[in-house]
Amino acid sequence: MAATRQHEAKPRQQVIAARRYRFHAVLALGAAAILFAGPSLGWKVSTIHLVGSAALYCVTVIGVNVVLGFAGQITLGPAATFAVGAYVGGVLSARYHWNPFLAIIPAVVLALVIGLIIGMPALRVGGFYLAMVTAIAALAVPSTVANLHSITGGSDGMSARQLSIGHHIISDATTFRIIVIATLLSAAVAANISRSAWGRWFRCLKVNEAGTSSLGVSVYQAKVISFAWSAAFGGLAGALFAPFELSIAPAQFGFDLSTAFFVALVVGGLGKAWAPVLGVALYYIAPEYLLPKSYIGLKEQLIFACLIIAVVVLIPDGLSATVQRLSTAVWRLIRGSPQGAREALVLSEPSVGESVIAAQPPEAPPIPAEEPSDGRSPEGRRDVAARTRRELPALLARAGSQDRTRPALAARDVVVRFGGVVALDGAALEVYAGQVTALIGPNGSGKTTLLNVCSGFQTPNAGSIELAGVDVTRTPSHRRAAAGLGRTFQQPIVFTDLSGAENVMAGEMNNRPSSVAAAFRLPSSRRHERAAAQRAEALLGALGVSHLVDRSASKSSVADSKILDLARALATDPCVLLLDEPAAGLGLDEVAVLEALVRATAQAGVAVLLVEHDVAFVGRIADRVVALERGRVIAEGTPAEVRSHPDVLRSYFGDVDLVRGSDEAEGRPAVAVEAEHD
Amino acid sequence: MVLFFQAVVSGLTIGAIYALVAVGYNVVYASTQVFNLAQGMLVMVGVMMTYEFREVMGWPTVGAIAGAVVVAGLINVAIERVCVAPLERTHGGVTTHLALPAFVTTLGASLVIVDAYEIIFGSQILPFHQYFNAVAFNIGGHKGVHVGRQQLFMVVAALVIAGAYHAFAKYTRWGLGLSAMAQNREGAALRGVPVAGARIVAFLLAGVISGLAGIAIAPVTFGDTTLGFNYALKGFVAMAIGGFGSTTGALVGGAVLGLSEAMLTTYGNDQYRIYASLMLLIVVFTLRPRGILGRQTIRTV
Amino acid sequence: MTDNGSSSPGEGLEVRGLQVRYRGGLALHSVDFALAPGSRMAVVGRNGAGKSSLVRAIAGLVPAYAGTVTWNGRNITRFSAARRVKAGVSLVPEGRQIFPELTVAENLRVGGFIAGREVHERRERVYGTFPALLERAEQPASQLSGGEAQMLAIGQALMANPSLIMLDEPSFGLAPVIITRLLDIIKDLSERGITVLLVEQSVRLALSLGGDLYVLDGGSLRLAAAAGSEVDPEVLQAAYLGA
Repeated sequence: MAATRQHEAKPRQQVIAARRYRFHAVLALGAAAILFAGPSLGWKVSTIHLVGSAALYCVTVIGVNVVLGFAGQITLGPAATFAVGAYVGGVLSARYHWNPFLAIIPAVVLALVIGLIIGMPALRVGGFYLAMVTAIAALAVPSTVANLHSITGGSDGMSARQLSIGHHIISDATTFRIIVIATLLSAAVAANISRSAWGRWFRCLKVNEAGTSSLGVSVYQAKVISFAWSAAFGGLAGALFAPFELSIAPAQFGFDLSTAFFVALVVGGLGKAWAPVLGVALYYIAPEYLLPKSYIGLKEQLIFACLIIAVVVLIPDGLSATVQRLSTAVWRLIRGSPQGAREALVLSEPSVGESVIAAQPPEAPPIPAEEPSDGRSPEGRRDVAARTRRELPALLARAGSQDRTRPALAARDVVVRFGGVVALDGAALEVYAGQVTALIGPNGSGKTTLLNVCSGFQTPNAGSIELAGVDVTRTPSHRRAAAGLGRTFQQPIVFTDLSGAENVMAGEMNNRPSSVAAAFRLPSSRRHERAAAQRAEALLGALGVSHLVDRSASKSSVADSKILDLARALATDPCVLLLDEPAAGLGLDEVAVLEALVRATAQAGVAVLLVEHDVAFVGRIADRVVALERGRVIAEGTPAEVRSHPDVLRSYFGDVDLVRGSDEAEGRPAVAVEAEHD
Repeated sequence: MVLFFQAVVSGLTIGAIYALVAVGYNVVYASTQVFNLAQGMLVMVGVMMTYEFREVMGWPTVGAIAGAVVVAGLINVAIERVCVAPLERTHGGVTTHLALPAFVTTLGASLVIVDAYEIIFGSQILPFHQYFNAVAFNIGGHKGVHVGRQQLFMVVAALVIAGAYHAFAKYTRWGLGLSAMAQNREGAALRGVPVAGARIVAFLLAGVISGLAGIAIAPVTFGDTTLGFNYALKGFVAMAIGGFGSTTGALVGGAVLGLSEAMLTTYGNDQYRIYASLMLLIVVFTLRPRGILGRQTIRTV
Repeated sequence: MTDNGSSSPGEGLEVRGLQVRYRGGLALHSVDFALAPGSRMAVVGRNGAGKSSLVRAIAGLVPAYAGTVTWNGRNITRFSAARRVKAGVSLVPEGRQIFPELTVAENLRVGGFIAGREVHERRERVYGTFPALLERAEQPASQLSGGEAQMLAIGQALMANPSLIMLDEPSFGLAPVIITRLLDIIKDLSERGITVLLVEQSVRLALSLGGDLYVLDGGSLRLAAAAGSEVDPEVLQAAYLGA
């Protein structure tokens, strides 16, 4: 299939992404060109140094953006790797007479290594711990430098050598230009990472950590890789800093430098492409030019600190978002739409109406919202359903080739205890390829726990899980996903700054590139992107939502988000698919659409296991139903069988005597319910 | 041997301050899920205000202390009003979403305090009259271990303040209300604890505690506001070692950190101080992430 | 819309057009009912029907997107949860939500946050109702059994001297023997003049309360059985097993 695609047109998503990328690239090149020309235009030495060091700070902040902005891991110590890069490069060239250019390499490598030494243990815990360990590391590095007095000149600092080739010393201006190029390249690398598979997986870390492993990506590994990249950027920046500033001392790399980097990024806008530039420009360059000379000093710093607070409180997504809004508004104004311009300026903060929307449901709300879903007629929907049934099997190769006679997923005698509470007490079930199996039960019956045990998010105290007959009880969740166990979550995972297709591409399993390949857009990464884009478009088309392909995911309704979620899970080519309350929060029309999609998925060969509250929905969609109560299976069978099973009725109704008339006398179950309706 | 015990004395003394910063963090974090980075800076506010009131303005010691406490408490309340409460509107109501932005805004608040102080009060340095005369206790004879009254005062002050907070938390309705909020925010609201107002109370208390720490340390510290960041970090380490959510843990953590630092600086040099924090943190994360006496696990951001 | 007994207008609990939205959709579409002061009612419905959302909205934990909640003539729709407690509305939430690290006595003290000087008196009265709590007064609440925890939760609510008490699935996870005792306690509360709103999954328990029985389905309430009469099975089946 891949071979013939070479001759087909590029996937729509790729065309649009390329266009977006080109726009930013042109902008960046333009900015770089202006800076390049700076020294020739008569810039003073002080200006060159100001802009040059700001550019290097920008490189470090680009690194922080990768780990904090993309992947959501808090680091308060970016100055640590910056310092390591500066000192290693400086010491090697000044003391051991290395060529300053060559010294850059070990500087970056050592910064990377030290970054990993600091980061790897702390990343296991994450959160504030990570923040504080990195902060302490940021303090420890200058101290260590000061301690290694003989090599580094101690607290008094040392002089670094200028860049040179042989005996020819490279001028200040040229070094500046080299720095500009390095900054441009760093920005390009970060942009490459952002739009690659790794960028998508980092976003998943931020949005739903567990969800990342359901994409077959090890959470810890992804965190470490994001951290490693930030260390590498910091090291590079530091390595160029020493030969540029020419004298370095531990005091320059203190905690305040780290906090400056951190704040610059947050103010610029976490995760946004231009955030490092905007943040650094505001933090370092603006004060020099915007504030009258008499204010430089404490008052300026005070205003700054207040500005930081104001920006975070008032503009939560940072300056980048403001710039985006302003430019959109201006653009719309030019195109003659003042109304559109006004709309663009409105902050996306919760409107009054939204503030009375509660943040988290205590239970999944299954009642229809008032808005209709896709406005399709029943005929239209039938056509889409037919198309789905036709097109889906080709896209789910692994699922189709499964043995339908043996369970694709089996849970045996699973016991889970939380402290004194037994959540699962010998629960067992089997899910077969080509069928939809539903797991029902009252609150606290253990449905989600069982699902989590199957996925690998919860280790059972006893019992086993088998995937196609292979025991996976000890296998980590990301490996289960890679082996074909897909999953969706109650809250759909949405990458709001990406298009629908890009959201789906995160699931692509084939030929995944390394982060280095992604960073430099090596052929392996480009191949993966192309294949992923084609598959994503094909999947979205098969699911009847082609219009979502290039639409920003932030605009999706709840129903669309759920379909994107499903598509992403299908992109992993799963053999088994676990769906956690897929119908929650959907209107009647939307539920019907979802039903058709889930049935088509099963028909294509996937073994579907879904957890649901809505017994009617289950009745329409499931081939088999398993009822849980207090962690044990109390009934299994067809929907009709389970629905009229006395134990199931008791678990829902609680022993109520609903008997009327002759049914009871004849020994039939007290409540008989029709399975089909509508 | 004498050197060792001298190190113990200075370790406990500085550990007392770290412990109080940790208690301040606990008061706020436990009940509101917000980590107030300005907590360390409030110690410096205590130092500065005591200095201002007592030396510059000539107030009597008791008045200066009272004034410093009030100022520190009010500044922390201001931080809550300006840097934390408004975040709920723009970042959504779910409290866990406040954590990162609050981190940044309270960091900004620390910077504001540093700069504002220097602008308002300039940098005149007058001699600070010690609280106690310089006679020190000597344990083990004249060549034995010197324990200054000031040092003893600091350790005692830490124990008293921590004890007072503990009593507050256990016997008053607001104290219990804050503890309840820490364990179950919704449950507390359902029982009539006004969670929004309670956050202000938590910040006020934390400000007072840190302010008192500053008052205790005022005679022996330079008026270097950047020390505030140092206390902020060390207080966190103390809390991590001793365990989040535990006042006793804060005391233990502060003691452990202070002692480790003292050992490293006495037997090594001053630049080794930071390694104490680094090593202790790594040990704690690896062996017992909850902390020595920790009861709640800190929620990851 | 149905009324429970005869009530003078402006008295008791009145809920009109209550709508609760979450980001994923509607939890309550439009709920209307009135509950006369001192009387009792029960609400049943399947999982996910919105029962918890209903009492949480009345208690003030989730905001009302539309509609009003009035208690004894006061419009409490915009009151915070704590303020509603002061107004006499108490919720014993799903899962009890007691404070595990505080002792039983301290838990009750928190319950009496708004009680002012009467705290100790009220606590004595709660001990009188639940002697088991007195026995365990100094033990941390985490050590209580399920039934004792439920008693504590109710005791906490009583510390605020509520005039309306709502209970969300109090029987959850309890042995039948304890449930019987629980039911007696709830009836006793009602006999003391406190208005009672019980939310339950167990229809049997709800029926035993004795007041009107409503079913929450499709985001609104429907009367399944007026006080003292028999249940209409179709209403129940439709609500629980889908129609």
